[in-house]
Amino acid sequence: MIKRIISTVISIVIAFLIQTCLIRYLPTGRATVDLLLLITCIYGFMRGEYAGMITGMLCGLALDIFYSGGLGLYTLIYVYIGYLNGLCYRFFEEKDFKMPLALILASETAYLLLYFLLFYVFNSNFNFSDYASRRMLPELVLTCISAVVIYPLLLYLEVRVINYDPEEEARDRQNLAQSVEREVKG
Amino acid sequence: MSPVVKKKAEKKKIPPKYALLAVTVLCIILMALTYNGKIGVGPGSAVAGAVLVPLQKGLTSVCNDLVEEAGRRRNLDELIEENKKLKDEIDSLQVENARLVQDRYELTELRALYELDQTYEEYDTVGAKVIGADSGSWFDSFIIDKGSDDGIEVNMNVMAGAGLVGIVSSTGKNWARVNTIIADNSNVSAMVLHTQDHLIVSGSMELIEQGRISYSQLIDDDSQVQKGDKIVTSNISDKYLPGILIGYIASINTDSNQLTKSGLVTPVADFEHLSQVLIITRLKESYDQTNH
Repeated sequence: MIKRIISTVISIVIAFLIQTCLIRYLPTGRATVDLLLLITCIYGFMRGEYAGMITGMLCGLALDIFYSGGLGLYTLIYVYIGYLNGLCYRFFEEKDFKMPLALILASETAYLLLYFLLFYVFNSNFNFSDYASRRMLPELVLTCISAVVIYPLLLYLEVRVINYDPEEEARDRQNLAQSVEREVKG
Repeated sequence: MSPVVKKKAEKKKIPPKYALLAVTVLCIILMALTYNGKIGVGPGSAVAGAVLVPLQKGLTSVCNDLVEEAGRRRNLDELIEENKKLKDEIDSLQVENARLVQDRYELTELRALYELDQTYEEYDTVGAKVIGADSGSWFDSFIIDKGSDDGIEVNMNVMAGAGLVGIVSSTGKNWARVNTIIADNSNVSAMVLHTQDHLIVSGSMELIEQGRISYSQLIDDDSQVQKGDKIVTSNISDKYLPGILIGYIASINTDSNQLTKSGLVTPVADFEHLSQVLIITRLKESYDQTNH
């Protein structure tokens, strides 16, 4: 448990620093990757609803404090993203890379659409095609690329370093499957 | 091993649905309280400021050093040539400077005669480093390494070089956030320097990439305003101090109502490479008070 908390906090801090300090120096032009979103998605998917929500909350709070006028907006969005990705925890499969990638892209798309609604439409800027071509597409491509790098890294850390215990894992999954079955039946 | 399992099991007892609901309610309450400024983001920002800002500072300075080092290793020939050019330029500038100093002397005398001692050159400024770009890196807003401990307050104007960059929108103990004038939701009341015609300068997403911002609502019946005219902040703005240079007019179009004009402004500040900014430590409110 303690390892999980530490790894979450460290990866959030690193992602935040890369995103705010280093990306300016990279030759990617104006498009960026939302690394905090990426991490929220990945931890949600790898660890379940609670972990996703907590990761999302920390990321959202950091963004709220530094970049929005008050508290709560980013936090809310990120917590929901963490939760929704956490719902897919039951499909978590160590060797399956398509599912997390699809989840990350879906989350990023949803986030960017929401962002357009909140920060552009409410400021009466309705130029969606411009937003899509200048910001959404490059960000989605870059997110895809960075997800391919970051997901295996975090997965390796998670499975081989942080909490590898095959018995526990199997038990967990069995319990989960049973509860799902019960839910479906009930 | 058992305590770990136990903890996990205990936590799972509250279904995540309810936790989500609780967080949602909490966030909505927080938004309601913080967005209209009733409560500051104080404690949170203190924690974040203590943890993240020093790291951001360190990383940014390391990066700046690296970029500088890379620049230092440029071709020597190039530098020699540039040096030569610059020396020539210095010569011509020195001549010009001598003339200007004379003019200036005259100007001060005349100003003293007219008792016009308030000019925008007299604003006190504090330098600060940019330590973090917006998470979207469009420089809509950025973080600087000075905060309320250094006397920075919300609504202070921020410049880079000779041009207006934006305005301080929130402060922490050792950091502050600056909203730029190129941001999509930014509107600055400004005027053309030589005709004193008022206009509105607004940032726009589409134009950021061209390094331009747009202006509108310029009333100029006699068509006196031309390309290249200086645009400065106007004295009727409630947040910006008057007379700060924003940029130069790059194009003029007559609006369909035939009354107003709009077009593009080339800003003076280099928004692509912001690393140092100047914060004017005087607020518009106090400026108004001293002038009345």
